Amino acid sequence: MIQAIVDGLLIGGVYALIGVSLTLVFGVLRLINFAHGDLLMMGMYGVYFAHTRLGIAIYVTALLVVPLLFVFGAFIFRFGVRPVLRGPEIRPLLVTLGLSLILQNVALSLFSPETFTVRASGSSFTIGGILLGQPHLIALAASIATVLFLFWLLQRTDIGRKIRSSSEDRDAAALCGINVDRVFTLTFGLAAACLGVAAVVLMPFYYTSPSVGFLFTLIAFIVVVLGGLGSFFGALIAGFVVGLSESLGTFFLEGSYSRALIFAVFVAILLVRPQGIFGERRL
Amino acid sequence: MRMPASLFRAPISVAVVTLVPIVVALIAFGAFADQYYVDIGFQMLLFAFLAQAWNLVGGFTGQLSLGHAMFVGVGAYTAILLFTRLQISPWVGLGIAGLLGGLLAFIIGLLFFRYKLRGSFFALGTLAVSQILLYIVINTPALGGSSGITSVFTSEFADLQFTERRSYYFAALVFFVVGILLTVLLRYSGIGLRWLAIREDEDAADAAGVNLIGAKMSALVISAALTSMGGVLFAQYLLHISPQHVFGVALSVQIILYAIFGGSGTVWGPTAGVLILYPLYEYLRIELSDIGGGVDLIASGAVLMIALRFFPQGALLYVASLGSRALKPIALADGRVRPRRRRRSG
Repeated sequence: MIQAIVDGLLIGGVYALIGVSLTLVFGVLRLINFAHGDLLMMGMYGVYFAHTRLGIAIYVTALLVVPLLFVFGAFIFRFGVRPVLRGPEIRPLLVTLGLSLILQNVALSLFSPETFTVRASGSSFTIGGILLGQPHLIALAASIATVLFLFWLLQRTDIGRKIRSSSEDRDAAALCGINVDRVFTLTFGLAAACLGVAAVVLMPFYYTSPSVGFLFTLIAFIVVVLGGLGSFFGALIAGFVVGLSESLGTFFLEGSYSRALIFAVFVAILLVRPQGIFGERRL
Repeated sequence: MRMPASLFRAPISVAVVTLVPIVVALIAFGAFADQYYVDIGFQMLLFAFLAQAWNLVGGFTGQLSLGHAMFVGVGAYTAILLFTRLQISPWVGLGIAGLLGGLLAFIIGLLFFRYKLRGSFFALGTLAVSQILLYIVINTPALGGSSGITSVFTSEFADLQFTERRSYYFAALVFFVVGILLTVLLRYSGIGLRWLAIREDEDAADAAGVNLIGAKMSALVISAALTSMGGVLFAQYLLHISPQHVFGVALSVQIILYAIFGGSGTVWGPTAGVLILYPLYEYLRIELSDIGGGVDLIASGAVLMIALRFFPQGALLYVASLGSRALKPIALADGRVRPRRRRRSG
């Protein structure tokens, strides 16, 4: 039981990072991004191959995977999503859904439906009968560090101010001389880079498969909705809440029933408190 | 909205007259074509029917349901469970499935529309509900779990099964024609106008006195009931169904894709979408099957992105507008430049 709580909090850090990056996309671009988890999935394959084929130490692959995902994210946004962004909100949503289908099935064709795991040599230790895995602790620390870095970037730097002003009013920002289109592309790239970090810290104890992305997309949505759409710290806290409820769900319920429960909670929040449990606060 | 061809705006009688030669051609096809092509024809007619049903709520009313596969699933499971457990004929199951699908939609609508879930959030919500049902079915051994359930093949007409596989084609043809007629009738009735008003501008429709909840609810319930009945036919044809197949996101997306590609919110759009895309997928599945699974789904994703980028109003209206653009001058008679057309993709 306590073990389940600790596990939930540890994985919750990664969920928070994934949720915060989706919040970035949703808060700034007002875009429901169905390909979010699939970018993570691509990143996880990247980590796997960089580690197993190129022999790069697992945490060092970040140097390769994070910039690659940044470029890849910016690229697909620039040429896939941006052209339809100004249409009715349904269009970009469906475009990202199409994107998700493409990424998932490209992975399926290239890498087969099997799950890939990296056997990391990370040690684990016990404190008071609770098992703590070293990779889990690294994941939690790196996730929180990335979120804090992102927060600093948004609040204190020039580019952060540009992103925030573009999110508040596109037209006003454009009138002030900000190249909003470029800022949006950069924002999407940044979110993808965050997913790169998540991929690197997840891979030592998680698996990747073509369908894993969809799972993370849904988790990210739950985190974002729970945290209040567009709220940064809401998403951070919601990440831990979701991690906790998932591990407690698997502790108490058999099989993948917990999955159904998570979706039920998601629908309930959408209905009753669409502003999230912490209330909406913009970036 | 400027409509180029009379086909899309014509009164009911014109639509019915259009239908007659098409039906005659389809009957001739079913009677004389090779078994292989008739099988493909069955699937195309069934998917055209499902896309039409989705179009009522997703196209005409502009409420993007991303979970329509759940209604197919409810229909398919209802029919097979009633038949194998209680020996109730799928003919009866057809009605019960329609009622259950409608009931599910009624509950969803009651919750979602009452709490004003709009646009993207309605889409997310319906997707989530379909996933809830998927995982409940997967984890319920009584429903066959993740491996699904198999029907008993009796090849009795009384059990909605046919020895002659051609008969499935004609059953789907009946569904298709009923679907088209119902779409036309609803589209040109008062309720259809209310649906369109909501799609164009929900707040304006509200201000104009449209009962939002009632109108959206009727679209969702009718659409769901039809989809569930389509699910029964799907199950009778497949005889084995698995939860991932009939409740999964892939099926929902496939249905939506046909409607949007052909033109959501038009009577013939979903049919056009199936007519263009289904042969493409069939070809890809056969020709590129050695590359590994999912080639047709890669194509689906690409087609979806391309369609929304270049002709969000759908292939049918796009082709029609090409014709009208060539005929009509850009500047209006009084010297004003023709305003850029703005149309919601629904």
